[in-house]
Amino acid sequence: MAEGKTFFVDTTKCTACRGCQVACKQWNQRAGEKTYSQGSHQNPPDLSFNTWKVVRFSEVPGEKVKWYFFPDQCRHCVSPPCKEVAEGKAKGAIIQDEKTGAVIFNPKVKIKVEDFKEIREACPYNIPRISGAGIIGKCTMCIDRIKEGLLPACVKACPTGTMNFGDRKEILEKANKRLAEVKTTYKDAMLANPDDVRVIFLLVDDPKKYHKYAVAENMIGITRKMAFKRILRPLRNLQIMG
Amino acid sequence: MRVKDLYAKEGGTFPDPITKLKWDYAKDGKVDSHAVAKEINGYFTEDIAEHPVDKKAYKKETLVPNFVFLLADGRTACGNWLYSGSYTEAGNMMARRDKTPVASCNIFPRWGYAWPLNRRIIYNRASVDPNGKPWDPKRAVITWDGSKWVGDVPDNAVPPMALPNGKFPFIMKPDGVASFFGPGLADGPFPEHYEPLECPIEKNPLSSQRINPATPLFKGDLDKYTTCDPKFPFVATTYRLTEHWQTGLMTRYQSWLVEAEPQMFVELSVELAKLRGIKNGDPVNISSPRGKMWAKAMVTNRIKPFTVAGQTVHLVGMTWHYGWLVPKDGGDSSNILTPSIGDANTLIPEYKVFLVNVTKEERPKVEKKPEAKAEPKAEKKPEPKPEAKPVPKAETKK
Repeated sequence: MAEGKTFFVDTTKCTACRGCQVACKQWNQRAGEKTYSQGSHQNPPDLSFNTWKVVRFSEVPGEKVKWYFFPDQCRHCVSPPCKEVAEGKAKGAIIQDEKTGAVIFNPKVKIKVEDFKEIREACPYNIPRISGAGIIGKCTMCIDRIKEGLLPACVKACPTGTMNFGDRKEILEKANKRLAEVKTTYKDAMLANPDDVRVIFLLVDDPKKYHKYAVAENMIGITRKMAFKRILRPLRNLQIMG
Repeated sequence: MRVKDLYAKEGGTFPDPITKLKWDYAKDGKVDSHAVAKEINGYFTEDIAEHPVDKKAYKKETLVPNFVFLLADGRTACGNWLYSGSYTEAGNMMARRDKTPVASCNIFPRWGYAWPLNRRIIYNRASVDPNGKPWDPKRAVITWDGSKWVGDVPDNAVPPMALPNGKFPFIMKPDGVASFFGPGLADGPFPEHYEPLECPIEKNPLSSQRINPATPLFKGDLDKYTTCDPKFPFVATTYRLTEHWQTGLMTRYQSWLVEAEPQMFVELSVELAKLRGIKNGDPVNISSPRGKMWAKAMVTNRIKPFTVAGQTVHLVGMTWHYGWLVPKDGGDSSNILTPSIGDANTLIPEYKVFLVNVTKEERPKVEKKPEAKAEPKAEKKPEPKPEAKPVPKAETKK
């Protein structure tokens, strides 16, 4: 695959205006949800079939105010585990675009509840959601916009420079440059799984303080599990045939 | 238009304002924003043989060049004189995107439109000396070239002050000059600290006058005020959200905004929450001498108790974006609680400080579980949603 495209999400610049969240819904025509105030400004409370991008608010307890914003979305993994699992369950349900690297669900392929459970478990970032009709819903990288030379809706809408998008090499350069800058103030600053994903978050504190799934728990472990599944797959297919 | 037709057909108690309403901005059933913009700019309502301003002839329905051409005899119509000049016969001035600046400074007169008269800096003659020479020649907003002003559109095109017809630059001020204190203010001459109408301390620590003596106090039934009242021990303040606009009347109908900020909330400190036994997300009651309302508690370390005149004072914060019909369970506006008092000159409301009480709601609101309701709504088939519940098994045994 070519270098493809990549996002850089500079959380140090995020003000949680949620322009990205609303722009995502507008471009992708996702319905608003019925929500309730639950002691946080974060709403909807989580990703869903209709919410592909959600700004997570995390208030770190303590005397000092630390309020972290995390514009969560599909990371478009370089080697997407969800796609691996989907291959064995519902072929073609999740595909990867050659040119951009976008990981895209196929709305025409229905998925069984048990199968979806495995797909979701495979995602280190807890992203995929499913509709009542068995269709996966998640960020598409705005592939329809990119193909026309436009920026993804969330990036276009971002007023602060938090959301960036471009060719992978340039974005990686940008991310590393910004990381070096930020490190002078925040010594724990880091990029979240930059080699494995196409949505790279810049964080300045323990990732767990932003969001439980801000970084992959252990990419190696996941990969091992994937490898295991890959070995088993032909066997399962055989069983079905027999 | 439907309402107008109904009134025409069936009549009503006072039909004239509806039946005689001028409403001809529709095009293909939709409001034509260009027609509205032209109406605001203004136009001639009849042919004019010789206009008193420039002695030229103007045809009926021609757009006026700017407010100078408006006539007080009914021969012109204009929605707002300030915007007169924003949509002329030359086109939509507001849509211009020419980045050419004036020669002397970074003013872009052909980018969009600025009221009044496309003037970019109000009182711009204050930037020149009495002879019309810019105080700062490197950034010359406006310059008198001997016979006329060049640069920005002059604020009142009178000659420089040293010349016989010269005038002070602050043309909208009674004495024409800038001032910290000038004619027309109800209080002054110097800035003074007053306590808010409702405050947690008895006396103004800086003077013997507690509140602004020049502010009018209303005396209606709902104008009940209190200070240092144990029934209303906490200071409340109000603010807005980026998600909603003012009362929320427009934004609360927008599903993507209302899902992001769906209900009235009150932000309070960890300390106050502990004091009142309130947990994050609990429904609470807030009351003031004027009213009582409901909100969801948002317990946060962003709000901290103050120490005022030696005593601990708790602060709570809320918005006024909710109320009435939409969403049904959104709650009310904090305007139920606020006192009707403003500043001495313009009555800009003093809603940043007033006194309230906050208590845990005894009778919990009946509310459906959000998780169950949240998702399948947009799907055509409202089947029970089989979404796998969070699978936070960050496994990996090594």
